[in-house]
Amino acid sequence: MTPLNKWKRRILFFALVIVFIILAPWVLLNSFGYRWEDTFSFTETGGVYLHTEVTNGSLFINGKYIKDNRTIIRNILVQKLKPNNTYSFEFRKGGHHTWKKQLPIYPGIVTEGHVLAIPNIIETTEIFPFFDQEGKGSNIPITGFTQVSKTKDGRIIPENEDYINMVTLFEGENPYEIKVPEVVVSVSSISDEVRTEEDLMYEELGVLDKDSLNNLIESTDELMWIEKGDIVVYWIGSEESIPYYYCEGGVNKICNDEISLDWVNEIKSFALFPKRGDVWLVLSDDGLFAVEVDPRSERNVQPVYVGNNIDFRIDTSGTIFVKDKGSFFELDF
Amino acid sequence: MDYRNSPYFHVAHARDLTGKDKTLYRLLELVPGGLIWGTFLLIILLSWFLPVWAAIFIIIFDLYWLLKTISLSYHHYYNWRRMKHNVSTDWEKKLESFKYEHLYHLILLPFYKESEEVVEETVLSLVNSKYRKDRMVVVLASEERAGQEAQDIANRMKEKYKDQFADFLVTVHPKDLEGEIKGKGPNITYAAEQSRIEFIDTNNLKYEDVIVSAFDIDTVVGDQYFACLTWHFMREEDPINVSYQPVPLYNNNVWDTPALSRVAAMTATFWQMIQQERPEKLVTFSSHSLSFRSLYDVGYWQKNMISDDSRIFWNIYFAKKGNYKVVPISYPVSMDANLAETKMQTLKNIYRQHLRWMWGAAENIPYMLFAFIKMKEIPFREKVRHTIIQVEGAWSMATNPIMILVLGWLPIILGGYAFRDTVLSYNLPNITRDIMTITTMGLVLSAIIASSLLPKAPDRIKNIRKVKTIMTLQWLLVPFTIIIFGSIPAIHAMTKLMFGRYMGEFWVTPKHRKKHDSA
Repeated sequence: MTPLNKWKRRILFFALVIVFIILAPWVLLNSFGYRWEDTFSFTETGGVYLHTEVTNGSLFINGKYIKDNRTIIRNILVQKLKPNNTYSFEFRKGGHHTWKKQLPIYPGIVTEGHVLAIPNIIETTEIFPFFDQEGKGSNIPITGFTQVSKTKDGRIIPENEDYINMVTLFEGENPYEIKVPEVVVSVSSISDEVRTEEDLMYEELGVLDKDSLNNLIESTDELMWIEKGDIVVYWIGSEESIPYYYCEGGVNKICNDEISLDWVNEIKSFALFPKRGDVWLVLSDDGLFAVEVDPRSERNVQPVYVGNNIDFRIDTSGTIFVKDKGSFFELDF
Repeated sequence: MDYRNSPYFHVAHARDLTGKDKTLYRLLELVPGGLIWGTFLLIILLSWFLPVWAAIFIIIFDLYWLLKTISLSYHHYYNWRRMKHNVSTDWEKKLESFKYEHLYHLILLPFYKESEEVVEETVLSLVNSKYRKDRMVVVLASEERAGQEAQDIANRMKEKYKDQFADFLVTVHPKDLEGEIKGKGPNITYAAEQSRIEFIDTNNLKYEDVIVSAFDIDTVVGDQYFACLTWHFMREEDPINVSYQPVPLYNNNVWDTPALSRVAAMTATFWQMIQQERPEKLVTFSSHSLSFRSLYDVGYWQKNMISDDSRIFWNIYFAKKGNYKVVPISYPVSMDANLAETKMQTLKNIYRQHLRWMWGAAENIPYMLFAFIKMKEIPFREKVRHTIIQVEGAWSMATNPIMILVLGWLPIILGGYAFRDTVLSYNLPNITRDIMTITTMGLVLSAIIASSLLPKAPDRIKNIRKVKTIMTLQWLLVPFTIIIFGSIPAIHAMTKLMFGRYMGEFWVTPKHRKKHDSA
């Protein structure tokens, strides 16, 4: 058997060169999002990228089913969308609230979104102070109130450690006010008062006394608090890392470093939804709600716990607890 | 200019030269490392400042890689068929049409501290060869620095098998000779010269009639190897100006080696198989054969550098002013894959072996370029052709796997938020992934070919189906092995050369054999 001859090798080489010449422009145009139109021209299309934690849901665009997401690849990328249009996106999953969003599509740009689809019914587990004979939670001790342990001043000590933790969690300091360390950077030439970088930052936002802010949440990139019953959030991080929902536009997008939530009822307190930087847990007279920070089109608002005069806390593991009429409930998502 | 008699001919590194020559050679030593680091730097800078252009480059490169894989797979497949054909061919019969009785085979077997079992298996394969033994001379080339035990092994082998061959020589390469590194080159050169004195000249043989096979000590040849080699030698118009390259298979201990070792070894085999169908790109590698005339004319192998097996090609090529080539004989020789007492040690040994191979590829580049600059006799086109082949080969080994598997993400990481929002940025990883998925189809071919090259399983392996399944699935390790045992040692070697940190000692790959109960 003779070695591979030169002619065969040349034919193979030139055939592959031709394939390359045809394939390369086609792949590149596709990568840039160009689509061949019936008008015998290319259009630069856009796309949408939806982050989601919910699996096995379905995406609809303008009411038309597009695709399902899967357990492994949860996020959804849809391309070849005609640009300079606003599309209606819906993410549906049985037993969950439907997420709806109107998002604009720009040529060559992928518009981002983050699905909020919490279960319609959120299971709750009540945390009782005592246990019954079967070891289940109970409001009454087995031995009766006369024989339980009491503090020196006569208060009954609950048997359930989790219940004690709940009392501590709800009666303790507001857990959402996370303080950042103060850094001294300059000394005012006008007065002898020491002003920190933080003071200057708040001054820029028009806040003279940050201690007067209600439900202040500080992080390295964002500041948020309740102002006149509504939530305001300011982006104080770098311009490079500003989240997409602060911005609008295509290639030359414009970003606003302030977002506010104008709520119908007065907001009593709020926190960031566990593991989500773009969703608030908002407490009002009607109950506890998950609300998108994203102000583009109408916000998705989904009830977490409905009830009057309730309060809520989130522990360090991200579990949400609700206090309703003196009882504690753990929300199980 | 007679390059063979010039001070440049046996130069190992820049430090062996003086003045402007030293400066020039040193600059040429920067070429391989400079190119790979330049490539990485360029991609990083492009990804940072011009991410769109970096993405375009990566997509085009991925496509190029896909088509290159198709081309290489075709060459690989073709050589597989040819090798199978050559193994089943009756070369003795084919030789009947030639008068070749005047030819002698000088088989040089340099060894260091390898076990008697390893040495004997190699010698036995020569005994079992169907070629005329009265035309075969075996030379066991031992090292004084290996101690008395190594010489005892050599002497026992001689005593046991001397009657089987025209002659059986044992040479002992003296230790600490001036101008020599500790390595295979000095030993095999000493053995070749001793063989000339003790056998070739004593028997008044013409140097042109002696074919030298320079084998690693674990090289087990098939029974028709020498017939096949002789046929190719006889068929060549100018057989003196040719090296004959078999395909190195690492099958001796394949049933004992871990998957990573098998994949790394088989990848090296596959590369050699591909090169067998592209002889213009072939230089000698590992075990190979050539005419004693050519070897003698260049003073045998260089004694001052690591990669004697490939450097000998360039030595003779330049001595003969470019009139030298490698003929692929597409006949396998079997050697040991890396195996040590522990898996971790095996992995370390694979890395060190590949580092040595890559060092060879790296250190030959400045030698070749320097000679091209100095020699006017070689046509410019030839110089360009060899330069592209050698430089591109070393560069692609070091950079391509990393570019494909790692750097594809760089524009997304470094390109800034403006790029991250683009359709191109979202498509880049997907396209890279899709093209690479198609490219990995080549691994299916690799798995099929590898399984067809396996020797018969020993009786001790009970569940052969399970073992063969593992040996098929092992090819999924290629993306890792190609980086860990391909790119990284290549970068390591070329960077060492760039900084003038020359490898001063030939690291001998340990040949460890697993002990099995005979019961």
